Amino acid sequence: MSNMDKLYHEIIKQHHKQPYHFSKVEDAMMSIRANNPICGDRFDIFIEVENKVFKTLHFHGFGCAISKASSSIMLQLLEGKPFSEAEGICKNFLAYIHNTLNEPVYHTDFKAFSALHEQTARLDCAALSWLEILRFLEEKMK
Amino acid sequence: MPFDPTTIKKQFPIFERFPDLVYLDNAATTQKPRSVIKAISDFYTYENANIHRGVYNLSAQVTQKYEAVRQQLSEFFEGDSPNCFSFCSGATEGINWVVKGYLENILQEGDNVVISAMEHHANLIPWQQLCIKNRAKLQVIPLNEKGEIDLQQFSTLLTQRTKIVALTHVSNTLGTINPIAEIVELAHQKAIPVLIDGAQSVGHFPINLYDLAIDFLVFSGHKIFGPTGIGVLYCKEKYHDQIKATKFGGGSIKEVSFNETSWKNYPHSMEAGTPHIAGVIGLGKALGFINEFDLTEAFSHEQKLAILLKENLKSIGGIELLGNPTHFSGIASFIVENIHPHDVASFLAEQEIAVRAGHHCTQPLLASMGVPATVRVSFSVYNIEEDVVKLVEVLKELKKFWL
Repeated sequence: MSNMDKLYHEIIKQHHKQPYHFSKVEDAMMSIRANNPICGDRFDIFIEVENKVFKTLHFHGFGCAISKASSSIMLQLLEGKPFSEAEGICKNFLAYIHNTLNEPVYHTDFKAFSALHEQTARLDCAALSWLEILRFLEEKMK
Repeated sequence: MPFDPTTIKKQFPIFERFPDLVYLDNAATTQKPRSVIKAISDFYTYENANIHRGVYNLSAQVTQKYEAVRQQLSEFFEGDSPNCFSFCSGATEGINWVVKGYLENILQEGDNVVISAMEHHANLIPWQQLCIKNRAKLQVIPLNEKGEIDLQQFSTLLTQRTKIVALTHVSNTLGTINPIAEIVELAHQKAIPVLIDGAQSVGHFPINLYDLAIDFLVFSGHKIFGPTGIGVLYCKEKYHDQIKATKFGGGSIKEVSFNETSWKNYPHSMEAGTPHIAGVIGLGKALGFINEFDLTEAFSHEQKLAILLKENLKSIGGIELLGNPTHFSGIASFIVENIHPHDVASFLAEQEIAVRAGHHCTQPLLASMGVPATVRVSFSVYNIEEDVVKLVEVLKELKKFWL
């Protein structure tokens, strides 16, 4: 497998081509912006919450294949999850991509990002939306 | 010596370490020739001392060497006296010096500053922030479809209340070369000073400061084969008394008491603290390196590579070039249909091709063109046709990969 095939794992390519819930929600209950000022990537994440549980999540904006796929996977995994569990999932993903995870990986899809253990230049792309939603969770759970 | 990129390339040790490296990110920073690296290493190894301080030989010699670079700059630009050149950390700091040391003292509520829509953030934010603070207006010259400044629109923006025009010589994103002579003439007709951001022009083609009559010019050493952390502010003699120090400390003063301080004249007034001596020495060597070849020929080589690139990109299909300026440098930006610039750059990086992907610190420009980011290719003297050929081949592979 070439480095490019590793970096752009089939799962990443799929999510990039058909991202989950990739649409604007004008009247969303809440929205946050994941923005990388270095590269210009910018996603808005639209959040519906009920009793501290992510009811539905949508996202929209502009980003590379890595940032788009990782956002798409994040949405799929966090929907329906209570805040406290979601926080753990976010931390698990971020630790996994930074190769500092010392617990089992939460979901096999995370392994699609294993190339980032070597190709660290794209870590920010993968972490973009996850860091933003983690900030949101930490704020809400204060 | 006739211009030969292959011979020139041999002077850059990075290409010995990475023989297959195709370095096309020269607008971000250039590679360094052996002579510059050696000059910096020699300084620290054999010549190190502080300047303007000691009476011992080492200090006197390094002071002489440091000051000699001002002389070199004066010759390089066929310009004013060596004392018109002050050393700053780079183009960004140079602009900030003019904003805070000159304009801030005279900019009144209701005045305006004129910049263009293609400015790098460094030649936008400092003026914008001062305008906000002093309640002045930031006027932006719009661009035409080709990515060029509209001179007619420009002249209508100049008023009695315009206190400065700040403009890039060459767009770091589109490669457009701006008509500086005409712009300076129009501004001077209304007695408005002009600052030129030379970050992408200096060292690429000859600039005659007498002919162009520029009032302020800034550039960075690391973009012209010199070290990082060193840059130059050229300030016309007329403004020497009007530009004030923006950082205070040793080395820039005439006399100090507990109640007051008097400053040395420009340029020394600006250079408080121990300056980047090794940087200045490296910059001097970089100027010497550029003087070894015919700069006009070198620039025509960069332009030829840009033409070759643009023609080839058009032939691939599904690639859109940003802007189409009549006068252009060796810089071109493009987007590949349905593939994000970062994904393009990663794919190219895998084949040892270094390009820039992102907004190139010109977010408002890209926003006005409706794109969040681009891939940018920028040439220098050591790039060869084979670099373009390899880039184009890999772009074709990229399109297959993402099919």
